[in-house]
Amino acid sequence: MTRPKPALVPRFLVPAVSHAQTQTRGSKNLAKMRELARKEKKKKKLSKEFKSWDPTKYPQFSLCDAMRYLRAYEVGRPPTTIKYELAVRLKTPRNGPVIKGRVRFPHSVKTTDVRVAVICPDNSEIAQQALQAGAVLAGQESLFEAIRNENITFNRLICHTSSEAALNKAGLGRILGPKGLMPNKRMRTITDNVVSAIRDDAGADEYRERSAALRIPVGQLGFTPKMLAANVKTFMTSIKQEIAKLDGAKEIREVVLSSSHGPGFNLNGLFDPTDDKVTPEDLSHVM
Amino acid sequence: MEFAKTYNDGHMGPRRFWRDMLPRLKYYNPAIPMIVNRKETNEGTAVMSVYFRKDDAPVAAGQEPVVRVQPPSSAIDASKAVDPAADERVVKIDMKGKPSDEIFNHFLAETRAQPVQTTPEEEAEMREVVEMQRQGAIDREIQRVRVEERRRERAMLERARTAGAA
Repeated sequence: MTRPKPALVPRFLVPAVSHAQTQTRGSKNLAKMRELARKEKKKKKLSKEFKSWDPTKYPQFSLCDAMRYLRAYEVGRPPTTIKYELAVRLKTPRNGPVIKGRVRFPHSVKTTDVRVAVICPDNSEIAQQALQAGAVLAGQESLFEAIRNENITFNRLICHTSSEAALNKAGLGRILGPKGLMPNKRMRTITDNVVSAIRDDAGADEYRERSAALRIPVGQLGFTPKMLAANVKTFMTSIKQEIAKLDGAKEIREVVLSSSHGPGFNLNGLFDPTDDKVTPEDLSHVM
Repeated sequence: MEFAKTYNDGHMGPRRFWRDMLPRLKYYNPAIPMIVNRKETNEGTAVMSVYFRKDDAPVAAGQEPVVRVQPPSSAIDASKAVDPAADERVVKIDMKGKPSDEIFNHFLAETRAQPVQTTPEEEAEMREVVEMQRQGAIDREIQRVRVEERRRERAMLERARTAGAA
């Protein structure tokens, strides 16, 4: 469908008088417009750093208190599909490197299983090792054929360095790209140590900084406070290591725990509930 | 609790009870498991089963504590209400076609629950919230007028621009 266009009248057909009038009126307004536009541009100049607030000015919660609220918000929801989420807000400049990494939680958050396929020379020793490490498929031409037929039974794809050229030649980017399966060096999915890559994939979660915040699901609703604390701790140490690499360009401002349907709770780093009638065991029952 | 996912055929009350009242009950009783089983069909019943421990059966020394099997909440009708264990009795409340406050009153009568009293601090906080909402409405009105003014100006400018271009 094309939009109906207003009927265009050629300029020479427009009566001369009215033509002149619109011209002068328009030019006057044009100058005014430009001035206004300049003013608007000035207003919109961004600061060099992302805005950050002092979290201690607002209520902060211990982990068990936050969990008590969130468990109340999520009451009656299926406990494996509902997730606890963590948002870590950073003090960081707008430009420059972003934090990106992977973390392997002591208690896996994912409910879906990970099925890895490995691209490596057919019937090679690498293929054998990959299958032993838990890959569902390993091979080169057989795997390419399956992908071309859209017969994709895996949700992770790793490529061995020796098969990189063959992969590029096969031209599968159009099929794999939209699915996010295309191996590449930056995501460490083209690697010469396939076995360790499979092991990483099996339980690792990726995180990435977006607009000065890192967000990641850290636990299922059914987790006990201790399990969640272990996961949060693992994630925080992982971030701190990444931040230490950047030599003080960034720092952690606040840590907020929320859940799929719940509000966010600013954490204060403590564990025990403030209400002494409630114990961590009380927060461990089935939901 | 067991009821349907949609509100037809008298399943609205149970749903509202779950959305409005159950979170509060859960917050003040974090140790009590509250299982919700939602199903696809509306023809069936909507029942709340409340499990009580029998007071007249104290746990004898050396006796194994009763194993309680509790399925987790489910949105696919996968956790039916279980039979009560040996030291439990169960009260069933029919929720079908009842509004949520009626269900709540029924529930209160059955459990003889003690309502939580609000403390003076909480009352002060509630007053603050009401005050904030009142002020918010006033501020919103002021902002609305400002935004409309700005919008009108921009529309005027836009009209001038099209006239200038023609």
